[in-house]
Amino acid sequence: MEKGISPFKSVAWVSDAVRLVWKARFDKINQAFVQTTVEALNSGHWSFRNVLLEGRWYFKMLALAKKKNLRTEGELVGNPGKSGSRFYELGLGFELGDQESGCCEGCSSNAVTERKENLWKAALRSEILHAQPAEPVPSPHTIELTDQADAGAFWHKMLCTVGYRNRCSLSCPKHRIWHNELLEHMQQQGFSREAGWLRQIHEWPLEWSAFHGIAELRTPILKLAYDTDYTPVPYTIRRKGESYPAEGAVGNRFPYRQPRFKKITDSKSYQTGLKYGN
Amino acid sequence: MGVELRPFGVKCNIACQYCYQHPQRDVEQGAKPYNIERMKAAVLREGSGFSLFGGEALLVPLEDLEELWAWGLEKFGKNALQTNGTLITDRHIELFRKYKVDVGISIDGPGELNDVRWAGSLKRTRRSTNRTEQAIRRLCEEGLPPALIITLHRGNAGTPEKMKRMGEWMRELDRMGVRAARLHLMEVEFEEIRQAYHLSPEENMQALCFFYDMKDSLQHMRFDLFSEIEQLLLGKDENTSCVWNACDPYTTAAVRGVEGNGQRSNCGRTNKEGIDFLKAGLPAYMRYVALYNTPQEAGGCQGCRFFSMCKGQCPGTSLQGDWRNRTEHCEVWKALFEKSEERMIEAGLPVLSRHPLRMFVEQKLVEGWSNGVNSSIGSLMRQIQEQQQRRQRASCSEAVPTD
Repeated sequence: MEKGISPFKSVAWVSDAVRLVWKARFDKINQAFVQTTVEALNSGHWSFRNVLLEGRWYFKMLALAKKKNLRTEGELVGNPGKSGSRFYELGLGFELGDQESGCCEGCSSNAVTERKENLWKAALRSEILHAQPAEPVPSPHTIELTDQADAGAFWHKMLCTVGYRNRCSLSCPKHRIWHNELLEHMQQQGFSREAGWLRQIHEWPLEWSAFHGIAELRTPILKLAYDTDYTPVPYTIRRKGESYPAEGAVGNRFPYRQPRFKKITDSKSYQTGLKYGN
Repeated sequence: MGVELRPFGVKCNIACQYCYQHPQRDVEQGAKPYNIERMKAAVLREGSGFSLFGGEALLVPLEDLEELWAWGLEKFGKNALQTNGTLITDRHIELFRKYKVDVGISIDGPGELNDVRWAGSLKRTRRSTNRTEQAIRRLCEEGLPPALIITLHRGNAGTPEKMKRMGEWMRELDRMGVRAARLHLMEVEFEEIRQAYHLSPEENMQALCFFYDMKDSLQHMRFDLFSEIEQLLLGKDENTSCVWNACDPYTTAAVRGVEGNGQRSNCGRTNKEGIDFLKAGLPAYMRYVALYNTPQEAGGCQGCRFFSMCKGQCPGTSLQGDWRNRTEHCEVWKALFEKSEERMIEAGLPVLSRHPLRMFVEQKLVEGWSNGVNSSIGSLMRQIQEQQQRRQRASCSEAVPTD
């Protein structure tokens, strides 16, 4: 698409009750993320970290890093001339020159700067459970990842994320280590609850798709649409997940928990009607 | 449309085979109890009158209906109801009159032409249809003629004989005093329904042309679909239906649903998962920016001269059920726009689709959508006129000698 879609982010929660619980939790996780990351760098546990975060958390982290005399290098993700939802990639450390330059050639902040995200390419290089799953419609551009795949890459519009925008794969061992270290440090710094929530979120099933420059992420508690790179056909990535939140929605397609009762459209009376209506 | 108040959610006393609410029924277990005070509070937060909606709205007991309508009349000066008409009694009619309730009835045809609005068995279905027909007649006799919603499918428009029967029925309704009928193309939620009932684009077009050609011979009844298309072609879109107005499926501005527990919800037409998602915080119109820029062969609207009027139509009817695509009824709408355009040009009317300003309007719409603003074509046309008038005045004053 020549001009592309302006940055935007639309979030729809599955219910009032879920929003009430989880919106606050997301805020607390992000707050804990910012504090933990800066503290882990300040105490010398980490020499450098690259993170992805939304505008408000970016500025909080910058302010906190400044207090600790950390050096920072931030970059706006996307076109600076466009209005809308803003995301940043930020490198932090006492010595930026001494940073880890990504875990491998594929992971870096500026590997593919002309693209908004590289999830599909990263997913193709990950451990794939099924190519072209049959549900609901088989598509050459649908893949299902194993639960070993990093879910954080999909949640980056809602949650501050450790690592790089452009990843070699979603099975990248370095990213896994960084995420586990983050969880450990969160616990050590008194954010056990937040670490627990983050762990849960990463275990949930999800479906990400990109089509016509709009990405949509479906999860048990919310769906989210945002701007991405233009594709003339849909590209879909699924991750089955290991657990489902008790308050998550019941829905009639992946990634939602299926209803336990018989569908109205499967009932005998409904099926009988099909013979008469036309 | 305004607020759709759904006390019982999607609970209904019949089970129309094609109903776009079945994905929700397949997921929701039983009707949730409603709370009148919570519903009232939610309606007040929305800030406008409401239409009682369902499922079937008349499953609500009479005393609660009366409480809601008395309150609606006091707060908003009128009431509205959308029903399948099968449960209407004399007492309901008294309430309609007393509380100024505008009644909308969904029915697809007389007798067996309405069988797709299935009630569990053929006998019950025919009995329900008969009740609905009686209710329409009774309302007309009482001077409260209902507006009708008629969905087109193989059951009522699949053969020339059925179309002939529909034509006769329309004339009868017209004689009875029915003033408005809205024609819907069938929204498909399940493949077996497509196989059984969906008309091909050609069949849909034939059916619409049939009604288009009969519209001028009707005394009272108007099909708003045709008048809306003509208004759109004239660039007057302010009073047209939501389907032509760049609906964001995450916020569905035209349909502000209030459920029985007071929770806000979106239009059910975009609900493919069966989940009543809450409205997103702010509307985003990126579907329309994407459609404008996407080639037609990829599911977009690039280069279509009717785009500023149609905008890819309702996201609930999108190709492959993906709201990022244009409507699957594109061929039908395009043909209808072409037919209206041709007639209007013959009548010497200026149509936006052939107007030099069309590209300008499209660009302004896209610019607005990119910035979260959904302008009407009418407001853009007025801006252009004002600019032209200012320029004319400026050039006139320059031409007047000042000494």
